[in-house]
Amino acid sequence: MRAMRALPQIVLFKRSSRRAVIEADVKRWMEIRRPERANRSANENVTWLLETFPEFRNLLYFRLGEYDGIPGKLLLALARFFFPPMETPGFAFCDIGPGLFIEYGYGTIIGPRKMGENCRIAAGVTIGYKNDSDPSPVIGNNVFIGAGAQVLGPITIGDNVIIGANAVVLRDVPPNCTVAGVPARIIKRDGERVKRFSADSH
Amino acid sequence: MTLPLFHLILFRRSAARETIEKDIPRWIRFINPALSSLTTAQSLVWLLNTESLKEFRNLFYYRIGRPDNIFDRILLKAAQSSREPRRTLSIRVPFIGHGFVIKHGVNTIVHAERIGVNCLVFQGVTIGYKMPGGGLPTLGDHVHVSVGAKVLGPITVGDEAIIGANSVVVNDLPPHSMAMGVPVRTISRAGTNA
Repeated sequence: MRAMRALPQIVLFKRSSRRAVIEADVKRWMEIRRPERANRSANENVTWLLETFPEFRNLLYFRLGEYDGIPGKLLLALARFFFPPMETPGFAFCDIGPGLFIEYGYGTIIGPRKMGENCRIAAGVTIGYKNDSDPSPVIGNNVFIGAGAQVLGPITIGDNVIIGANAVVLRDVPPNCTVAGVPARIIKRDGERVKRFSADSH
Repeated sequence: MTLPLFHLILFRRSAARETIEKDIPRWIRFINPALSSLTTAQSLVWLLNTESLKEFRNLFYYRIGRPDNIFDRILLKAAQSSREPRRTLSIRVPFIGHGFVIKHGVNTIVHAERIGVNCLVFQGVTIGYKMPGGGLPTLGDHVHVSVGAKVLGPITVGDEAIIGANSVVVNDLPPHSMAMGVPVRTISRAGTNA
């Protein structure tokens, strides 16, 4: 009976062209939220995630995208009726790699031009443009964005970057760095602390 | 709005009744001091029925906890479906002292080891771990955490500390201090009457 409620989602997800991406997302969410259940079937895990984490619904509907045909539209409407998404996290039309994990997602806007694999986003984050004419940021793989951080403008964030809580990132960040502050500056590079006013930190 | 009967029965039967009784006057004082002449039950009804105060419902359900008998569990289910809590507020703390007030409660995450009495938390606040799998903060008594502040990692915030808007606290704060900015600057208020 419980699995029946998630039937529209499961049908849509099995027939979706992005099935592999959604499976990667589900695996990542299960590894973080309930590691002992990560090996169960994708159907079972999708149902559990839809019931437990409303923010997962937003991610799933974003991955499924829009449907042109009548059956797809109907199934999506049915899916949204049984598991209505939250108002946030909101997604702009963007290219996001598999394995995205969103923690709570309250007040979160995700609108990068491109985003790598296995990123992790906390609550209150905004990724988007600084003003209308600018493009949005490009974000690498394994990036962790802390609570309340803002990543704005036509910038590039490297792989394995950690962005601290409440940071406002307006410039490029090289790979393997930790940035924090308003405006954000590099506080750690390759695991070593960077002195406050050294020449190579921006 | 009808009388929140399920809530009143739960409140009467709950072990956390005294704590909720101490929460209510502080909520009334912060939200609407004009109602301070109401009795506890009248205040509770007003707080639960006001649609813009959904964060009080979160605190109420947190205080009730998970009842150990089936009757109370059914009551709680009925209560939760008749008065929906704020969906963008998450409280996960083993112990919160009495008099805990959340203002607005939009985009607020409160995950701590322990929170003392008479604390105040605003919207946009995150109290939680710094990196995934890390420890959680411990807050003393009478701590104010202002709008958008982040309190992260296994730290201790002393009694009567004030954490300013949008500041990020990742180190211990002494009692009677005031913290502001990113990275945080601490000003001692020891010896003042504030």
